[in-house]
Amino acid sequence: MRKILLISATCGLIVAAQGCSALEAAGEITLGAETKIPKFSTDIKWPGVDQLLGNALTSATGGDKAPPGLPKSLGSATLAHVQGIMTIDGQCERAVMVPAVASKAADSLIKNLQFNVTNCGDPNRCIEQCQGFRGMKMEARVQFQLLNEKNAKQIKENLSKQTDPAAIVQIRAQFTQLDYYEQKPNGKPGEKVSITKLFSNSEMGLSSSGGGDDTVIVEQRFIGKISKTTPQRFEIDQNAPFTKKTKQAVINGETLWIEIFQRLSIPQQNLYAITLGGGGVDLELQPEFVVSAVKVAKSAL
Amino acid sequence: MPTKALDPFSKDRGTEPAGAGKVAKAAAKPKIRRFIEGELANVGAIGLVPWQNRFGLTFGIERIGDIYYAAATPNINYSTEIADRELSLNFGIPTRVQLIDTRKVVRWDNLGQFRKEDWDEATDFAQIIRGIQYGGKEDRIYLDVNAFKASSLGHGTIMKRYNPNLNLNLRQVSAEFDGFMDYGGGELFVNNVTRPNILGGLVFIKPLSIIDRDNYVMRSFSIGATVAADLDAPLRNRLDFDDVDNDGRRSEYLVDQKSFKPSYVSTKVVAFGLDTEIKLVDTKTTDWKTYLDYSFLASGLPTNKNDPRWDTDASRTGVKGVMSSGLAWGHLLRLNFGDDPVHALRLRTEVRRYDQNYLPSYFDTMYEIQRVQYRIGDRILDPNGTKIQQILGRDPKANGGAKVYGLYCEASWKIAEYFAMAVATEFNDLMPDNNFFVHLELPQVKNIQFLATFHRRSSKSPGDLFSLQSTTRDIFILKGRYRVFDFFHINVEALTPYGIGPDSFFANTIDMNINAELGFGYGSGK
Repeated sequence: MRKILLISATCGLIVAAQGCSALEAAGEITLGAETKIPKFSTDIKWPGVDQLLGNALTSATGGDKAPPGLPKSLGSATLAHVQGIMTIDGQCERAVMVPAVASKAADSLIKNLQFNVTNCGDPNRCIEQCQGFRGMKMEARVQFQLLNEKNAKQIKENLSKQTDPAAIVQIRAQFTQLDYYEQKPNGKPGEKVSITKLFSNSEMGLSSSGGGDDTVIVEQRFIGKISKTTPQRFEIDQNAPFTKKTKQAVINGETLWIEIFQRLSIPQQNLYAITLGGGGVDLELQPEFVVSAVKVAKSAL
Repeated sequence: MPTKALDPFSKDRGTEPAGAGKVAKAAAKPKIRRFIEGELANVGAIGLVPWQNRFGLTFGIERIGDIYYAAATPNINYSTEIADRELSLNFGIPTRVQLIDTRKVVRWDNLGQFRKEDWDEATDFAQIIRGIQYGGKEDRIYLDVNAFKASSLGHGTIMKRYNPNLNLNLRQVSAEFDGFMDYGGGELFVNNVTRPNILGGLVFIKPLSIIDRDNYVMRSFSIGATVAADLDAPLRNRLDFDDVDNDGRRSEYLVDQKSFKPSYVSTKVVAFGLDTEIKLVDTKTTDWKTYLDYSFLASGLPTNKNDPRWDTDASRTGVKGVMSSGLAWGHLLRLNFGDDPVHALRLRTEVRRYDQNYLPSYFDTMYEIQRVQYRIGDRILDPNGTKIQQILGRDPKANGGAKVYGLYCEASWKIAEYFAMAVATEFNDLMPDNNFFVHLELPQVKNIQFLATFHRRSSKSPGDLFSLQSTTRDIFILKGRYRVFDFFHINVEALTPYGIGPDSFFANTIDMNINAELGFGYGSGK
């Protein structure tokens, strides 16, 4: 952070004198892994079918009057089974909340996994949610602490509240892992198999805590390129309300919780190939803020 | 009417005496005042040639794409007269050493490294030519090989003030050769002497000269044909889906990270036409001619431009042919008055009628930029934003199939070597293709050499041309040179746009450069 001030002061003087695009470009600092902005690293496990459906299985089949011998748990049933139960139960959507979520990164704080499934099996029902799509839709949202107290304090020391939010010229995320998986059929416990290719569409994005300003950053076509050896950066739309809100919070030095969401569309023909139990998403990303030292200096003048 | 050899004021196409357009300076010869014609100002030029014979070394900072360099250019300038026409030679050897790479990851890693891409191919050696000029435009013979000026063909209906070097990531040495005689002539143009992709030519005949060469009306009547083509015209831009510059932006243009050229699917665009002209007045001080041009524009368009995989999946690629046309009727009035100094005035007006998917002067000042991104400066990263699609892709049947009516007006004024200015506007009743420029130039006043051009391009309405609010399609070129001492000059430049920069699209950001030139004059010079 001291580097920002030093370059800010130098660039500020030169800019005041004649304007120097070379120095302006040179004066952009990336705040990310090197400046200890926490990495988001987690294996978000989807809730099991029993957790998702609750008593839907027994209610759909008549509750206590269910035929003797009918299983009371679906175990690792496929999405096709989930769709069948929801159809029998007359449900368009089901949601489940998991308050505690494990994080792989020591400095990453994650909580409140919200998981929704939408039944798009019948073209005449759930029309508003499905928009003509046939199959199942899933959405997972999890809250993530982007700036903890220590980072926020560090930034506050170096940026004044008068700093123009435009001084943060870019917010982006470098993904080293983004893979949807399920428990490998007949495999050892914990053995995973990727199911990303079974989706007809997927998107991942960010929003403020509580939602309402969802901003998509990774689309399905890019997921296959993300790996630890081929990390991929994605910019967050600079004009999105979420981005503006986040920039202001960073400048104010506030601790900041945001939401990461994933939306998946699984076409009807692939529902039998996906099980919820033991499935989830491996996700690792490094948030980055690109700050213009010249704009910081200008704000201070 | 005197015969050609004795008449220094005969000015029509192909009948000027040697040296027309210039003031004879040799002390031994009688001073003959010649009629000044041709372009009076260097509109669109992005460089200055020293006014004296001079050897120098220029130091400064230059930008290519995302990288800034310390640049040093030894250059030499020599001017003389051959066969009563001026020959001007200007050579330089640009060398660049990297300062900073503004791409976020690389930065200072290659500080001090020589830019070997400048000199790693045989074709790179053409860049030592900054300018070779013999004669003047609209002279009997005109040769111009240069790295900073704009060029036109004929009346400019197809190519007008096209500057190959407005994209400063790309240095090109263009060449133009014009040759006229009493019975006909021609013009040839290439935008790059080593790797030409834009070619143009004009041929004309003067059939009535056979009947009577002394009658200026008969002598001036000509019929011509013009053709110009971009053999590598961007049809559809590729976007940076793989984030090759590692900045996280994937909806920006895909740009080669070494040459900083945008990547695109290319096709050919051809403009061709017929024209005729005749002189109405020809006196010692006045020259008035009228002309009629009928031109066509032809290329191809993607069969399904909205298919995101059109350019990546061979089974989806397809192009359909498209052609449009336009008619122009113009007048050119050239006046010379005064004696010392001579004032030259050039007035031009042109009435146009054309299809909605046609554009007069398709190869224009900003073609080098707009061929890739027609709406200059807009942050619209549309793969279909190429000039071909934005012009030829328009529906000619829209607005009830109406034709577009437009007007072009231009005035320029030059006082010897002291002062030149030009102003022009072109507007129409239907399409967002209204343009305006104003240009001011001091070729040499005491210790100062200066030129400045302001363009407003592609305005939506004629009224927008004169709005005081700046737009993303405003272009400003300023070049100044000041002699502090005989051995020390300062060059100042401000240019916009500068080509593709860190945001991977053409923008009209202002770049200012100040550089110093150490050197010495020699010989008599101009």
